[in-house]
Amino acid sequence: MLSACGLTLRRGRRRVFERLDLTLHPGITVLLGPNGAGKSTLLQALANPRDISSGDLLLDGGSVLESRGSEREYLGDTGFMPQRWRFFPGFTVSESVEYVAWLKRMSRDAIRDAALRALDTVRLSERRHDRVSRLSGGMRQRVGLAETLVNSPAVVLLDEPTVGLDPAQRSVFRAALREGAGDRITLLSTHLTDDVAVLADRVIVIDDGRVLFDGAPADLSARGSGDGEAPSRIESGYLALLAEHEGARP
Amino acid sequence: MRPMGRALRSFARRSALPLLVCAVLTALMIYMAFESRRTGLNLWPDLVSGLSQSTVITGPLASGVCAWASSRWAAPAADRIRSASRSSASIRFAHAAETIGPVVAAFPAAVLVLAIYGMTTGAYGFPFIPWLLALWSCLLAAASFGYAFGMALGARWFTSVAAAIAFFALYLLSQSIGLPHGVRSLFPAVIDRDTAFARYLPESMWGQAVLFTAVSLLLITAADPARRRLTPPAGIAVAFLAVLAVGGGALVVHSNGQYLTGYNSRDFVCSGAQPEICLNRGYAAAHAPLHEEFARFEEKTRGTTLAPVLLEQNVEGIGDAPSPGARSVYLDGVDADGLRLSVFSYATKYGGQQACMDEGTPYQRILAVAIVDAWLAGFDEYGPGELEPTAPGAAEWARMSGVPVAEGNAWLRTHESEYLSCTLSLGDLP
Repeated sequence: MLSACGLTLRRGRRRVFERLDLTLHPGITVLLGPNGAGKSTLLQALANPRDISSGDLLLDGGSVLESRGSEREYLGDTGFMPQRWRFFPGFTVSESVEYVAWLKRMSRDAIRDAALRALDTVRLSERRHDRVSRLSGGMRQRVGLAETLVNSPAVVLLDEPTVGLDPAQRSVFRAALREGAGDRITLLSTHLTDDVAVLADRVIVIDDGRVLFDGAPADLSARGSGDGEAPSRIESGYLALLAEHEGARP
Repeated sequence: MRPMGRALRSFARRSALPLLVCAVLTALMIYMAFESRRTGLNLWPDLVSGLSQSTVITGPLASGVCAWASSRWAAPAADRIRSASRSSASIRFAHAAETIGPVVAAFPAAVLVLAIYGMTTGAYGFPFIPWLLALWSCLLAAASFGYAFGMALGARWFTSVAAAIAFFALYLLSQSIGLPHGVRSLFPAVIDRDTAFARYLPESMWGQAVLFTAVSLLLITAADPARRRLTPPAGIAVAFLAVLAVGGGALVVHSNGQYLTGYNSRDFVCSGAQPEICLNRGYAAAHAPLHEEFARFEEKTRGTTLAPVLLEQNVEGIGDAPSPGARSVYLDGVDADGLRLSVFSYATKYGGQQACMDEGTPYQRILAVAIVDAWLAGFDEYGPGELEPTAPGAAEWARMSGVPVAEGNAWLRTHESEYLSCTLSLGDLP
């Protein structure tokens, strides 16, 4: 269980979250919110706790921020795929994944097997000797997912990993993520309500640094009218929630 | 062996350009070292001089390629470093080692090749180790400069070119704005010429080695794509490096960046008679041809105080201290020009030109002595040979250069005192 207790997060001088409380459990939690809502800021802070201005982060009850050692241990137990995942020019698929395993302080002996396992999970083991630069966009995203999973982290953080993928690529990516996530604590931000429908065990909607909704996908769907222009019940519920929040603004 | 082979293959592919540049730099350094050899001589100081002069070219190259490599790595590495559990410094130093390492390895590779060459061909002398360390640190500083430059500028098409140009422009700037030599020596390029007639002043070399190594480590530390704040241990390390850099720089400035001073080890091999010539062991190949030149000179000066009896090689023949009864001779090379220049230097050092240095000496007298010197040495490049046909002295030179040796010798014996006191007139010439 990963708990954020009274987190205050800033982006530059702007305070994005103030005293945020949030608990994440094993399973896939999807983070929804409009542009600028603070999704990336939250994910980056969870992936890099040194960015936290105040508050605490607890993993299974232990404070992550207590010491450099606890922070380092937490980072070793976390996988993060940033919004703009960039590959290393000249690296092959397996080198990329092995490099991240090395960054996570995995032992030299374990790195190769771990990379192969992660590539198996994302269905790229056949392409492990190819250069990442020669892969399609969807495959590259899966290399990013393999990097995120290579250290078998307890916490998986993915910032809009399905953006820019065509429907077929998204489908393959989601299947790989579903398999890779297993019983890990997974937090995934997205704009795509399809992701919620296919992946989410739980949905959190944020805007203006506040949690507007935290519950099951079905509960979010129930907020929607089921008609209008929204292509799905979840999207309808999401839009209704945002409209409600917009209306409540002073 | 398989994992090692795999790791090496992987490294070779990822660092293909730095490895290629390593080969190019090695070849360039060896080429410039060989180009610095003088005809007929095989001296370690000449090879070291070539290595030194290569820093002006290898620096920008190293800087450019390291900028390219670091700029490509910086963006993808930034996010991964932030969420890595390994320390940011160890990640960056590992990458810097992989990128800068092959480039910097070019120097020991070149030195190794030169050492094998020097040993198998019996090159005279031995390279001064602090000098080599200073040169190596120059390359390290150039590569680190490029590394930090590339990290700061990011992966753009002009990054590597800009880094190379910036490094070279800084060199030009440092050499052209009239700074004292000690301050100029704070730039990582060495253009001093090594020589067998030198005593080394290692302060500047150690100062540079410490300065450039410390600055390199500081640049690599500063080149953080994740832009993290320094941890306390890293802060202490940075402060320590800064102190080293300042200390090294102060030593360089204090010792005026000077690498060597004139000195004669008197490691002579002597041969011949009339005159007996003692040359540094490394110049042994010059004995026979130099004897020929001085034998001709001796015929012309026989019976005068100018006739050489015992010659000892020295630093440019000036400010030296030959053994009692010996005179100095300067020898630049064993080619025809070098040999004649050697005789000419002797003539001007011990002949009338010293007396002509007095201010107010009439030009015609100076010219008359110069004509005699040129005839004695058979070397007219620096004087009468360049006169216009109608200029004063041209006709006299034309006449003098055709005078037979015996007739010229007889004339010199009768005019020796005027020649040596620079009171000779053009009309006195044969």
